[in-house]
Amino acid sequence: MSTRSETSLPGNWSIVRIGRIAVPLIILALWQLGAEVYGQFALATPLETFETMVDGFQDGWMVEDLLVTVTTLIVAYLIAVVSGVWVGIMLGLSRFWQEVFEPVILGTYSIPKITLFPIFLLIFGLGMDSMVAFGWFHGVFPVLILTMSAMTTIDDTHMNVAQSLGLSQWQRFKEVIVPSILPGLVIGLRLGFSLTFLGIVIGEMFAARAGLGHSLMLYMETVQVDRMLAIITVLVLIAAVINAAFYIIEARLRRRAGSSGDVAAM
Amino acid sequence: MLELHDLSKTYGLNDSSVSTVNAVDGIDLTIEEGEFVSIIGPTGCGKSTLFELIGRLIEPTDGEVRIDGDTITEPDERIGMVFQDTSTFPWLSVIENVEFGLKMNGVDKTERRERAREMIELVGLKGFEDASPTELSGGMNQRVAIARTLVMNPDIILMDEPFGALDEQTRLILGEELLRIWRETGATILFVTHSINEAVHLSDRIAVMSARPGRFKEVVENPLPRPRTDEVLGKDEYNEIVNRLWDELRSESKKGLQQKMEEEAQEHGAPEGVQEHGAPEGA
Amino acid sequence: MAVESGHGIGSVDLGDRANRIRIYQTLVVVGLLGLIEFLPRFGLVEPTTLIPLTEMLSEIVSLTLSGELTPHIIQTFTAIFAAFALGILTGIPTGVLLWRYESLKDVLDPYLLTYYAIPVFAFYPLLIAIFGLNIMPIITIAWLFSVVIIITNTASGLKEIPDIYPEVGKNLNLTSAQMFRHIYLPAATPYVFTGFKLGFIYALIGTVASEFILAENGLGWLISFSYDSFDVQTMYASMLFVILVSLAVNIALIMIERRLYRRART
Repeated sequence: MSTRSETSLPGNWSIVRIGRIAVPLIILALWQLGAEVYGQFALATPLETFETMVDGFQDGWMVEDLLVTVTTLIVAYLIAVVSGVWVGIMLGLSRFWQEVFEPVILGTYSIPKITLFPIFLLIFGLGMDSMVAFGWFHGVFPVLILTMSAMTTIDDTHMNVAQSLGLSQWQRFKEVIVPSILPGLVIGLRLGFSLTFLGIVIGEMFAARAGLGHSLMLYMETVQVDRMLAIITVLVLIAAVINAAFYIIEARLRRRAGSSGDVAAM
Repeated sequence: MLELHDLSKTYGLNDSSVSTVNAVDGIDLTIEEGEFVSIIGPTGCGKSTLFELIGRLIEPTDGEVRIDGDTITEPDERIGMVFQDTSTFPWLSVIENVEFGLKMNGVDKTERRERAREMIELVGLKGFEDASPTELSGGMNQRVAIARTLVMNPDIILMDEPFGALDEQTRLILGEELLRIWRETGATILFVTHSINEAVHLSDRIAVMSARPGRFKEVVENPLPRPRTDEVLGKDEYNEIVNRLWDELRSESKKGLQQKMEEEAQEHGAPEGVQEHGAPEGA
Repeated sequence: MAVESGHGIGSVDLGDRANRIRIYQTLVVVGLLGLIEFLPRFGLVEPTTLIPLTEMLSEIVSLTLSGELTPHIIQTFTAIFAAFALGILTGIPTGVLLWRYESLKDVLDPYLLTYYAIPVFAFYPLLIAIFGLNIMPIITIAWLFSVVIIITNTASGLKEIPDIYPEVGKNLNLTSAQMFRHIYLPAATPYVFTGFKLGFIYALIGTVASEFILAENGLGWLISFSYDSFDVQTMYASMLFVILVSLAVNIALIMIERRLYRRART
């Protein structure tokens, strides 16, 4: 019974490594093939895209958009994290209020939030404010929901110990609550980041005066496929790198916690 | 008649990088028709491996299993298995669970329903035909599992600690029930357990397994007469055989524990290797 | 954490608590809806920013009765079902493949984990450049958005099956077809259904969001078009309609899912 795991891993491990390296190469090869089959107007080759991207950074057209998008992203994400964690902990402290608000929160989370974007435009106007507000709205829910559900995983005994030791409210928060919810919290932070990013990109695509999403639509109209692909590549790289960083942190936390209870399988 | 001939299983043979584990080694045993034989042994001695070998769920490295003289090479309909864990299908009702094997063999509905009903009655679950296994207790689930095996009319029933996960009282009651079913069906039973009392209570002969590699240290004839009433179980003979088995088992249990601790120490002593297996998620 | 009523194990207490939660939940929902109704009614919010809830509802009714909504509903649901069907047709076999070949899953795992972090909608303008402005890019985005969750849930659903079920089948010497049809399939059904549920919701979000960004019809388009033409009435009506539809779909799918899990082990 215990033999199954022993037999599979070590032998295949190098194959898995090679395979993992091969995946992006295969994607590049397919991309190249597609560009050759469909021709210049539909798809630029990976090399052309790379050159356009480099050009975008030297020439500056990419840098300008990138700065706008990243600034919006950082501001929106920070607000989403602070508000999401705060409300999540507050609601998580009382089972009662958590259960009261859960249906509304989960319900809002499940709808296509992009459809509400016009409301943000009507309230905040057609500038960065509405992008930040919508980015926050799009990303705050996973932070809030996972913080809240992580609060329920806190061991009652640990809280009792804290109480019996006479810890102050702040001490209880710092020494018991935060370390207990950290693994779930980090998952929420990761998902929150992805959704904030997605919200901002979609928002910029729909209505904005600058930003990578905005330029993406612009270059679609002028059929500058190489620039579109350059922007998409930058967006994918940002998402992949940040996401990988989160996974590394999660793996560290899990190792430290001795792989105890998984929080939320979302 | 069930014959085990030089039955052996070594794990990790085809894998160059992992050290081999001799789980079961040279098991010889002949079980007569209608006999009730128990196998006891320390934790990790390969009892479950032996169980899977006889049922042909896994291939032996060496040796063979014979039923009435012919060697079997794949799961055989003459052998029915009852597993330790809850093995009833939660997506089927009790009666659908019991008739599952018949259905798979293409028995028509009226006949398989009838036979399933009989078996449900035999294991004392009348009235629960349409219940879902998820609504039943662990003991009742094992009754369903036993009925599901019995309905196939096997000559030999293999049981791998079927009452292992149950509480003491349920265990005793189900033991009694099993003896009754055994008498009524005349089946041959091979019963794996780690409880000496259970083995003595139920069986005609008891095979004591050694720590790994699992071999039969001794096969003990159970002198207690049947039915094993409280009176019989209160006799000196009972204590005598229990003590004798316990003596046999004690040294093996110690050896088994020792092995287990050494293995664990080895696992923890090589954190580099372990980490490498654990790392991919982060990469 | 601290349950509201100290020793409240008595059934009366628990029923009381459940009732109180329901009352507060109703209050929260009614309060939110009331805000939407009365803020614009009492002139606290400009009627160009928000219209009363009842007006939204009556607008939905008149849009439905006049038949204006029908082509958009058809368009949107055609795209959703096409993308979802495509997602199942491609996702299930891929999921089975990943379960059968563990090394393949090990190879793809990091990419599958990163997939939903990538702003998939960034590909939408590129797809429009390739396919033209029709239903194809929408279906492609909705499919891309839903297929991976179906793949991962199928693979993990099959993997989560306890060893004991296939062992029972082996003892009965079942053929591999019987094994799949009568053991693996029913045992994995609840998990696989969770993949379907999410896959459908993602297809819905993908479709509506794509339509919202750029399209020629569909419910998402109706929202953005009426926003662009300052038709706040139609905008809020179509927005509310999309929200109600997605909530209904969500609730229906969750109810089916609960029934499936109740039948599976607890």
